[in-house]
Amino acid sequence: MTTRGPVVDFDHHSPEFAVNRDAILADLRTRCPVAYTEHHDGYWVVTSFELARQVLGDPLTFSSEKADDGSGGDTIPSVGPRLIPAECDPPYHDALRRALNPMFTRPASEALRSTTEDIVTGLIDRVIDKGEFDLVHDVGDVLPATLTVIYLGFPPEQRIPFIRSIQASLSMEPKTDGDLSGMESFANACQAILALIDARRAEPRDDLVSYLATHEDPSFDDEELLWIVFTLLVAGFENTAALITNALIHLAQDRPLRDRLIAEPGLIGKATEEFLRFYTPGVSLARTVVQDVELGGVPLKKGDRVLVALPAANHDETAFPQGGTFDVDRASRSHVAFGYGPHYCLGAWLARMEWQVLCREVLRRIPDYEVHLDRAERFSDAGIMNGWKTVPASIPRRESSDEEQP
Amino acid sequence: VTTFRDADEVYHYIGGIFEAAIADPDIGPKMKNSGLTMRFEYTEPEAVLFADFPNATVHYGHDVPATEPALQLNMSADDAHRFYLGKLNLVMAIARGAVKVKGPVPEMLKLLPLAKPLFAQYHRLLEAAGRHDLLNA
Repeated sequence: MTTRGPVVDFDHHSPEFAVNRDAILADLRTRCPVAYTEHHDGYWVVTSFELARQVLGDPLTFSSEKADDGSGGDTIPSVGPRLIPAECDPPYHDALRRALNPMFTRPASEALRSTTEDIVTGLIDRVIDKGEFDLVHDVGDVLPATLTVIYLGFPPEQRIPFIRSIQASLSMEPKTDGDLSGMESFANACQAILALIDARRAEPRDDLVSYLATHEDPSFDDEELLWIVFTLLVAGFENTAALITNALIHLAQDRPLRDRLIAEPGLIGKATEEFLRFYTPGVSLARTVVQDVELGGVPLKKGDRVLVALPAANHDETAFPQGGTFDVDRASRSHVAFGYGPHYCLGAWLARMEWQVLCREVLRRIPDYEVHLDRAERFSDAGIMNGWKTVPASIPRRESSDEEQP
Repeated sequence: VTTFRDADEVYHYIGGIFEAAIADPDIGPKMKNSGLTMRFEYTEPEAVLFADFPNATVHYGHDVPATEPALQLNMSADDAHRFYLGKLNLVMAIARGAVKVKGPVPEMLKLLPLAKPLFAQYHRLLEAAGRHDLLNA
């Protein structure tokens, strides 16, 4: 119990939050943008745009470090192995990012466009063939995960076991992967990663694991490489999948926007930023206070845990007028869907490029797809990711199909 | 040459560390609160041990209950010894396949912070037994 600031009954992992997220966050942001909740051993929840940027932009006060005992890090409660560079602080974090950044610049992401187009062509071919499909299983879970495993250097079919392992490893609930327990699935993923690291050290190729395994100044040992690759898999899969699924649901329901993007494909870039702002796939980022500080008039103490609610910041009316409304024409302003500060998402350009390639091709080849939200299901726990378990969709059959035309 | 001569030595030293932890006024209650039951199957020498933290009991060999544990760990007794000396990176050993764990990930993650205070106790246990040969293994 604290008397240092307003206390609220808030739990970002609760079923109420999963179904009523934006209203709960808007209420907190209006009443008390820095509020304390006793759930999960107690944490401060931060809901305004400016305060979110203050926390995320100051790693010397708000640490991302996950300790050896598993405490701290990017989530509340702490889960899974220590993800690097996400769950570490400067100067180690900066050295890791200096090594990784060149592989994720805008030009580096653009170099993956033709691979992305091939994946998208294949997945739309399959979707057309099926007629009835699922936005999660046939689209959102396919594109980012396939591109990530290919870029790293794995065979594309490694996508499915990796997705299962990651889900088993990062869940707060005990999860299984078919007949395998979570730990067995996790160990299998680690062994696949270490095997690729060994192979690429011996014989480098043109892929990301070869680049990292042969990197000098700094060079990385096997343990560092394992967790860097594991982190890239986690980061490369779920956020972009959630962006894709939410944006495709939106487009299916917003016919005027769909027609505008078909008529003006140049608008897709701007629409992407509004999809990111409005749907904010990554919901929360946690930090640990490492020196006493005042945040929004509330005194925070060393050791306190802080949760930045990214959708709350992105809907803050002081930064985004009528922030709770989707508006593709709104004046450009950077959002925090990819975070802010030194931990700003490494794969931001890659995620944008993937979605834009997919969006263009969906609008060109299957513009009349429909989603069936009555049978769709969100993540039951939306405390970390604004994602969906299943979203049934279909392509209406037309008498003379033009979808085969180039 | 293996660290432990036979299963009885495994039970004495590795089992001993669990019993000492359960009896410890600081660590014991944390282990009880973890709610974990764990079955360890060791090789070289073969030995089986069941730690039931909620009931504060450790079972050995033929006395190990048939109950399904929350976590099952398979490893060499040498690796177990190195772990309690603080010389084995357990997560990397799992990643390399040297240590096999069956059970949910969140349960396993509960375990690691509990295990750390045991290292110093293990040192004391070996010292008290005059087993400097094992301390320097």
